[in-house]
Order: sequence, then C-alpha cells, then structure tokens
Amino acid sequence: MKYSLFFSKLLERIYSILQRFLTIATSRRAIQGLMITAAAAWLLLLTVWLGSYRTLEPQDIQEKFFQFPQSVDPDPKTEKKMERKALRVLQNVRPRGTFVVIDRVHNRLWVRKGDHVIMEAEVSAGAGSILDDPSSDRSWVFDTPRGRFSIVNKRQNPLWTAPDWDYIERNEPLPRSHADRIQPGVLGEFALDLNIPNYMIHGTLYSRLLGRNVTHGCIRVGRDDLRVLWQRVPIGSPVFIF
Amino acid sequence: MMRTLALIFFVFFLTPIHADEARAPSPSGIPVSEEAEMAASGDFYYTLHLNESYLALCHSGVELTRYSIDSLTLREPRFFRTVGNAGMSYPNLWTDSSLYPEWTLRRVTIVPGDESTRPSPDVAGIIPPTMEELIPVPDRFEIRYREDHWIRFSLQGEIPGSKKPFESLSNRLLRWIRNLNPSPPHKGMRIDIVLSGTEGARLYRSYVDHSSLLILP
Repeated sequence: MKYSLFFSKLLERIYSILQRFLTIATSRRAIQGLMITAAAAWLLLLTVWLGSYRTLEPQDIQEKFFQFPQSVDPDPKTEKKMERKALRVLQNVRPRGTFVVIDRVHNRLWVRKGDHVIMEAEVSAGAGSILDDPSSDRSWVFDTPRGRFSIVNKRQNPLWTAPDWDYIERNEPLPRSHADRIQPGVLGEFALDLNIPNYMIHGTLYSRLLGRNVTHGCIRVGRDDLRVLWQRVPIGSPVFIF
Repeated sequence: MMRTLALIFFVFFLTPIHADEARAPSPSGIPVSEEAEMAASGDFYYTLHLNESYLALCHSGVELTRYSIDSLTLREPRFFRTVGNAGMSYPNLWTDSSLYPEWTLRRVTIVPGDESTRPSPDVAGIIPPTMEELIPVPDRFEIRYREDHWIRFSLQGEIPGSKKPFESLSNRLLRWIRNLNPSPPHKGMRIDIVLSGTEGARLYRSYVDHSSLLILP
C-alpha cells in the first residue's frame, strides 16, 4: 500500500516536471534564444573558415607570383633594357675570381671560383664566449663577425701580438713591454688578414679542436688546408662569413 | 540583430584588398631586377626556388649555401579568395624578416684562470662546446615578414646537437600554449616547409634576421 502511494506520487512529480519543460521549450522566448545561439554558432564557424588558409595548386603559383599585373604595361623594349641593366649590376657585384665562404656555426670553409669548389676544410670559428676584466669595466665577446669581407694582406711566418684578453683569460699579469707580447708560431705558417682590424684566417696549434667553436673571433685552419689557401687565395679576394 | 549581420557582411566583403602590383618580373618570368637589387644591397638575402625545392642563403649574387626542402606548400588566406579576388597576385620579394622563436646562444662566461671555461683550453681532456650544442633548435619555427607573409618550418627526424632536457608537465603545457601562438589573422600568404632535422637546424642556427626573401620560379 505504502509503495503504491510512493510510486503514484513519483509519477505525478515526473509528469509535472515534463509538463513544465514542454511549456518552457515551446515558449516564444526559448525559440528566440535557440535561433540566436544557432546564428552565433554559424557566424563563429564562418569566421573560423574564412580565417583559415587555402592550399594553392601548382598551376596557380606562376599566376600568383610571376605574372604581369594588369596595371603594368609590359613594353618589351623597356623590359629588355631593364633586364640588361640588372644583369650588369649582378655581374659587377659578383666576385670575379676566387672567393672564400665560411660557415661560422658549423666550422666549414670553402674556397670557390664561381660555382666550382676548389677546397673544403674543417676550421674553427669564434666561441661566442664572454670575458669580463675583473680589474676594470672592460669586457669582450668572442664572436666571428658575419658579412662580406676581403683579404687585405698575406703574411708568412706571422707573429702574434697577444692582446690584453689573452693575459686576463689566463689570470696572468699584463706584460710591461710591447716586445713581451709578441709570440712567434702561434698563428701557424701563414696568416691572411681580413679588412677588419685584428681578424684573420690563420693556422693553429690546436688542430685537435678543428671543427669546434674555440677561437676569439679569427678563423683557424689546419696546416695542409692553410697551404692551399695561401696558394689559391690572392689579396683582394672576397670572404663571405655567415 | 539585422544591423549586426549587415555590419559583419560589410566588414567581411567590402574590405579593400591589398595587392602589390608595383613589382613586375621580366618577360622571361625570372625577376632579375629584384635579384640585382638584393645583390647590390650588401646584405644577406634568401632565395626560395619553388620548382627545384630549395632555399638558398645569398650575398652579392653568390649562393653561399643551400637548404634542401622535403616538401613545400603555398597557402593563401581563404577570406581573400572567397571575396572573389581570385586574380590577386603576391609580391615575390618579402622583406625585413624575423625569426620566431628567436635564436638564442647560450654564451659561456670565461672565469679567468679556469681552463674549463677558456675557448681553447691548454688541458687536452677538456672539450669545449660547439655552436650546435649552444644554440637549441625547436622542431617548429617561423619566419615572419613585414608584408605579413610568413613561412612555417617543420623539422622531421633527428635534430643534430639538440638534446631534449627533462621537462615537467606544467612546462610542457606552457610550451604547448605558447606554440598555439595566438596572433591576429594574417593578410599575407603562408608557406609551409618541411625540412630534415639536419637542414632545418643548419638554417635556424645560421639565420640572418631582417633579411629579405626572393621567391623564384
């Protein structure tokens, strides 16, 4: 008896909830709300779709990048003249003879003439480390500079004048006379000076460290490769360091 | 409601389209004048060869190094296509690039008298680090240009020199959020390039910021 009463009350309650829900769902306000939600979702989807990217087909690429815009009148005579002028500029800036290319990050050097590679070598470029002088405000960053340079001088059996950083790095006192700074043999058999003061391509005592970034900015080359550089790279040759 | 829809329609469909029509290639289809302009600038620049699928670092008209591309896809914003300007052309010279995430070098500070921090230690057992170890390379990076065009690089395979350190879950989540890279929609086009880990790392570690890109057929 008790149970049947309980179930009948429960059914009544469920029925009343359903009735209330149906009244709300079919009301005008609810329909408006649903429509606004649907419109907002549609706009959101449209925005996402419009904001996305469309893949270009290979046949579109030529048209997209390399066609004459309609506003430009392609006068063949003027265009030919401009092309000749541009080719002249290219010829003037390109190195005519031998040049050197150095990858300072991966420690590689190429001697090239046009597209022909004469020599490829493993070298050592700047370590990128920092040195602060504890006794003064001076500091050094040992990077190999990037850009186009040129060989301004070639020296056989070059002497190295050790700068202050060499002594500070070793925690040694600075020498009193200039003569005490001069060290023979440190730069190897040859040195090719670049057109930036104190930067050069030279030999090394640390051939075990070739292929690693261990210099103070110069380019160190192994003995045999340095000999080829000495023979094949004349003064004035461009050096590209990237 | 109607007013809002009208405004959206107006903003979407009546915005002026930016098309760079100032630069015209030569009749042969190869933009020689732009290449000459780049070569004479005295700066590094990149060339993207679409047919041969490689990117090159150049200076003074000399190709210094090449980066082979595994796959290349050009994409344009759907919005500009949808509004009916299918004939719109893009400039093939993109300028003033910036790398994202930025290239960072973990510089070693030399401690005077400490052989282990010297660039060329006299002690044989000490092996100084290389740039490959000092410049971490992400497996995805972007180059963005002033004209709002951008290139998205994805590296596949092993990245030389990159050691993935242990990363906590919270850091990984933060990195993932950063990688989502929320930015305003680009008007320009996007090039998706897939490189091998070796080539991608080479490009990333030697990348020249503020350089230009010349797109060649």
